[in-house]
Amino acid sequence: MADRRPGLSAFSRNTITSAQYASHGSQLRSSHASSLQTQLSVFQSLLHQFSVSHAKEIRSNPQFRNEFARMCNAIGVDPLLSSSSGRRSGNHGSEGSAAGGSLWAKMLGGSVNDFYFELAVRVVEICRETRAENGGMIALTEVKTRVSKGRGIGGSMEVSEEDILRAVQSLEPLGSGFVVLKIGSKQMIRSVPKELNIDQSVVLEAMQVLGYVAISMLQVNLGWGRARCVAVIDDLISDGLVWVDRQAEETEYWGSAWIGAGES
Amino acid sequence: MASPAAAGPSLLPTTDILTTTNTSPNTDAFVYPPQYSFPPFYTLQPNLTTRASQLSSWSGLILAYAAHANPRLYRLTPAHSIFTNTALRRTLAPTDARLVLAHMVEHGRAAWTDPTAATKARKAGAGSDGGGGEVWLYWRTPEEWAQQLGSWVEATGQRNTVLTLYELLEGDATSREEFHGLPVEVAKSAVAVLVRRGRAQMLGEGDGVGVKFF
Repeated sequence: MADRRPGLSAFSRNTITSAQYASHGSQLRSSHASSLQTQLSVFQSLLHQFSVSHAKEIRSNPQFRNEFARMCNAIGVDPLLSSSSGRRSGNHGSEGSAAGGSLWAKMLGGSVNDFYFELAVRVVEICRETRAENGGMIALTEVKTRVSKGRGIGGSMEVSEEDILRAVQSLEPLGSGFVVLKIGSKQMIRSVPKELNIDQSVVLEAMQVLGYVAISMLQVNLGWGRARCVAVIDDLISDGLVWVDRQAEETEYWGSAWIGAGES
Repeated sequence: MASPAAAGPSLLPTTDILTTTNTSPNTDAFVYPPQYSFPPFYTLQPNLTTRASQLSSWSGLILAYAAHANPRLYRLTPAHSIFTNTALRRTLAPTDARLVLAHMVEHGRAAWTDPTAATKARKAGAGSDGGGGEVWLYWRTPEEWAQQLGSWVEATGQRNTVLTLYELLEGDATSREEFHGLPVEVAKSAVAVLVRRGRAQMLGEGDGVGVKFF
């Protein structure tokens, strides 16, 4: 009997306490959330002020821009995010992201977005201009020198490699087929949508050592049969990725993507 | 000699080379484009897309070089030293160099000095390198030269005056003009442009050719 009384009332008591815990918890959560929201909005406005007052510097100083972009990244803000895109909803609460996404873009858009889109246009131009020469693959460093040389109305742009990478990323939603590849130690931008097979990548990587390869070099260093080497080289030639030099002792094959890259 | 050598947008796909090297002719050392130190540049490329780019790069290099050289270069043979890079020990073979020149002629950036020899050589087959092969370089097209001649005549108020080609090209009055020293043959093709537009008339024959501008 004695153990039944507390047992019965315990049901209601338990529900009451758990309800109280729950309400207290939600209270805590909401106050926490609202304080975070305040912090975030303060931060937003500060970031906004910052980006407006330093807009000129963000555009002109690549190092500064880099730091700014890294800061934005660290707090989960993508300076390139366009206003229509809601892809980042996973990071925020559902309500905040819809408004927040466009807000960020609006805040930063004027200076940062435009900069990267402009740069992306230049990168596309450069890739197209040089496509016949290099088969649609160009070294990142080469793009950088060409961009900084500049020409035409906008004049030259002072950019870092990270800027260019970011600009290429901003092309992604267009499905334009611009891809950044890493071959050996070099980063290349591939503007023709074609996959390199493993053999081709290996040969292109080997080219970085001296700038060229010869069939015998490949045979010795990779342990491939002659036919395999010749086949890979022929493929690379027909893709326009390799230039032939017949005036060396043994015919040499040079990576076209490195034509201007050796000097910078 | 300083002249606003505006390498116009009409200057072939490789305008980059030209705009960077052409801004101040005869003062700075000539800056060779990066392809110049790329050994395969001296071997005709088997891939046709690559070859097209190679030919137009050569064309750009030659025109920029010719406009920059002191004295300026107006004619070129396939055996010219520009086709050899002694540091790399590479030479574009004369048969290949001839292809470059043919490419330039095709794109209006050069003209065979002896058109009949050129057609004869072509009829004889691609393998033969029989004569011809020398070109006038059009680092300014005849249209551009025509424009310069026209505006000089206009600026000096010599319309309806008969000027000899010698006066125009070698006279003291034009010593500051870019067309000063232009070979007679090139100047004639420029005047021909003006004649076609009804802006000039050629008078006389031989060395004493005169031009009257309207």
